[in-house]
Amino acid sequence: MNDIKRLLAEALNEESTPMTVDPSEDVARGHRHLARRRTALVSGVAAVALLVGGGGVLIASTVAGDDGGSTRTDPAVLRQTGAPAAEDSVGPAQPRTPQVVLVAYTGKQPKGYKVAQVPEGWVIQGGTESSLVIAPEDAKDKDPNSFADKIAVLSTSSDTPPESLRDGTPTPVGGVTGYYRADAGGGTQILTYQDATSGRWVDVQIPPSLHWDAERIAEFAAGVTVVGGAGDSHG
Amino acid sequence: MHRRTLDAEFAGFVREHRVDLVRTARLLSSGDPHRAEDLVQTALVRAYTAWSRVRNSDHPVAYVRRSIVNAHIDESRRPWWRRERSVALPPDTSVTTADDDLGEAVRSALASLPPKMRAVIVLRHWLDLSVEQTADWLGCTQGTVKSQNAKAVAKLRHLLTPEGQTTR
Repeated sequence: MNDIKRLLAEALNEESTPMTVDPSEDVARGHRHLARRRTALVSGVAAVALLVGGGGVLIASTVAGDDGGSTRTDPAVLRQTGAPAAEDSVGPAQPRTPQVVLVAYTGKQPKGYKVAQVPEGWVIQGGTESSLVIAPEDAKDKDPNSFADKIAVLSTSSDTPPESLRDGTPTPVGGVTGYYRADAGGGTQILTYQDATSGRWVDVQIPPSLHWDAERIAEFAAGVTVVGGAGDSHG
Repeated sequence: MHRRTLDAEFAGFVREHRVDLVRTARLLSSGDPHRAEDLVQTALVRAYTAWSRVRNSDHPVAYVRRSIVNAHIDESRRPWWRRERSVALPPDTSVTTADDDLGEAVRSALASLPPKMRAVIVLRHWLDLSVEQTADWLGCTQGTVKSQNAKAVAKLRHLLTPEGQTTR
């Protein structure tokens, strides 16, 4: 075996191998790719930018209910809606907002997924073989390829290291165990679980504006089923 | 964790491992530096996209190496890809040395192997993966890895052994 390794070393022609590395181009390529796909982390950063920059209006527009989106600070309301302060990852100065409730989804089912419940006042913007996007009905951004401040359900890449799929706090999702991360970047919450029907691993990304806790996210996820041909999220 | 922090961490990873990743990609692409660069860039973009997860995996480098191998296999299934490509600049002129005669011969020998067989050789002998790991990465049986490895080693030795000498 050693002689083969020696031969492979000969094939490398190290004189033409650059030995100094400038990672900025790889980072820039990653940025561009994310910008095109509008993936989770970009949406998280954008959501935080909106929230920090006076995004209370955005919260108000996305929170359904009789309060008209007003921000409540009554701890009793928070207990009732199940939003623990520890998971309010937006920051200590952020006004507390009740969670948006789930309602039965009765509209047309999207491609690739079957959805049982959506947040009240939210609609399915689009579904592909690799992603499902749900957004506030009055969202200005109607692009289903943009995930900023929306719910995104993504089939995980086949390249994903198996051990990393279980990265997070074990959380029951229907009959299986999911793994919850309270802040995967910019306040975006992610619940990863294996869809019982298809066997595919799925990421459910929740924007901070929903103020959901892990239990509510799991309740939503339990109502999502991967169907016919939902595929890899990496292009 | 903020994107800026993740970027800095990813940049550190690239700085530390890119040269090694390029070496692996070059072997998979039979020494073609441009194709190797394509493979590495593809794998690093995938790693960047999933960095918050990859960074917490047991072996981030293994993740990227595996992506390189996947990209190599995927690309080999698209024969049109290599027919003709335009590039911004002419290719670098390689530095030829006496030692590089052997290097050129090895690269030619590697190029004569089918892509998946070449991947077996690189995974088993360059990355020192086990038969089980190699089979897992390539999505085939351990028996296939063993037989492909045996055929590849025999062919390389046949091609690279000067006439008149016997191989062991």
